[in-house]
Amino acid sequence: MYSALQKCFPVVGLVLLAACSSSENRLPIFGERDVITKEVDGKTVTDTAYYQVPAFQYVNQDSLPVSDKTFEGKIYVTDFFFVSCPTICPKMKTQMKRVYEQFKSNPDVMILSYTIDPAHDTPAVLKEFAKNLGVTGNQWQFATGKKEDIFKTGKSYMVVAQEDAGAPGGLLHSGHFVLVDKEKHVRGMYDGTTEAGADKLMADIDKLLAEYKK
Amino acid sequence: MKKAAICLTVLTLFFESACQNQEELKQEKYFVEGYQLYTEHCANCHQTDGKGLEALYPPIDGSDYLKDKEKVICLIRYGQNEPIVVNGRSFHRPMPANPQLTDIDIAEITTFIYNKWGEENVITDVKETSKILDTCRVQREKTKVLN
Repeated sequence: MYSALQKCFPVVGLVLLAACSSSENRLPIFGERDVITKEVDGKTVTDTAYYQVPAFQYVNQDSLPVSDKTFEGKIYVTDFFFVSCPTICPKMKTQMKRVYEQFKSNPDVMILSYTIDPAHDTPAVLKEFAKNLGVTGNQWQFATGKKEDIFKTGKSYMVVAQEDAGAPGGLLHSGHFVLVDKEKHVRGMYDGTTEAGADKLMADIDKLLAEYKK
Repeated sequence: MKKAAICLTVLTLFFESACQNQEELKQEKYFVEGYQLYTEHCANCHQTDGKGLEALYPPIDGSDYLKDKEKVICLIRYGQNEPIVVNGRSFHRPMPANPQLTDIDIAEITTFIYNKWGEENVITDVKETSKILDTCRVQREKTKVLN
């Protein structure tokens, strides 16, 4: 038994070492990537072009424009919901509120919730919803606009948002929270309907913030 | 000696379960199933701890609305579109109806809610619940005709 342990020990040590060196703590970058080769000073260099969330332009809960520019120099968390949604949205908003409280005083972190029911969720409705949720200021933006555009934006974050007669409320959307970095790269996807998902997100936000401190 | 200890435990367990009469077992069943139904159908908004969410969804724990149980039972089945005042605060989100819940489901949810947060220690029986649900169905149909 003892000798077996001894035999095992070096292996265990190796595994631990490997675990340590691989956890360099950088979050992955999601989406397709291209390798581009270009000429710099007469030399050929290869570089990786990562997927970036494309530009968007909507209106927020204060009837002011909200666009990709609003999030320049910020990392942000985004999700898709609608105010009258009877199923997963309340869960998601419960969890997102925790994230909001956690990073409330951090100027580098923002939240962006898109409504997928813009006919009902006007800026005024979103404003009241935000107020009732206990959200003040600009850190948490609620975006509304043309439905087709919002569905398209959903795809650009790699999440589902679409009409579906079979779904409660007539709209189908994913319960994911998406973490986006300052370069518009998608760095994480989390289950926004569970406490565990939100916990993982909050831990990853800390990791991502640390990447910018180096 | 060890054997004797085991025997004693088994005997104690036996007597304990025998003492737990039918009524208590029924209440336990209502409570446990009510808890499961609550988790599935109510906790999204009202939260697992029954405290609600900010000014969006009202609390059940400590809610003065619980004093009218008949209203609560009807509310679970039929929902409500008008604002609701709980502990002096007004909430404006509509509560969806739950036509998929049967009378026994609602009796169990009500038992869970009142045993957990309503300082009650009795069962809200399905017979009682069905009667209340019937009354409010008739009332709702009457108001529909009047309108």
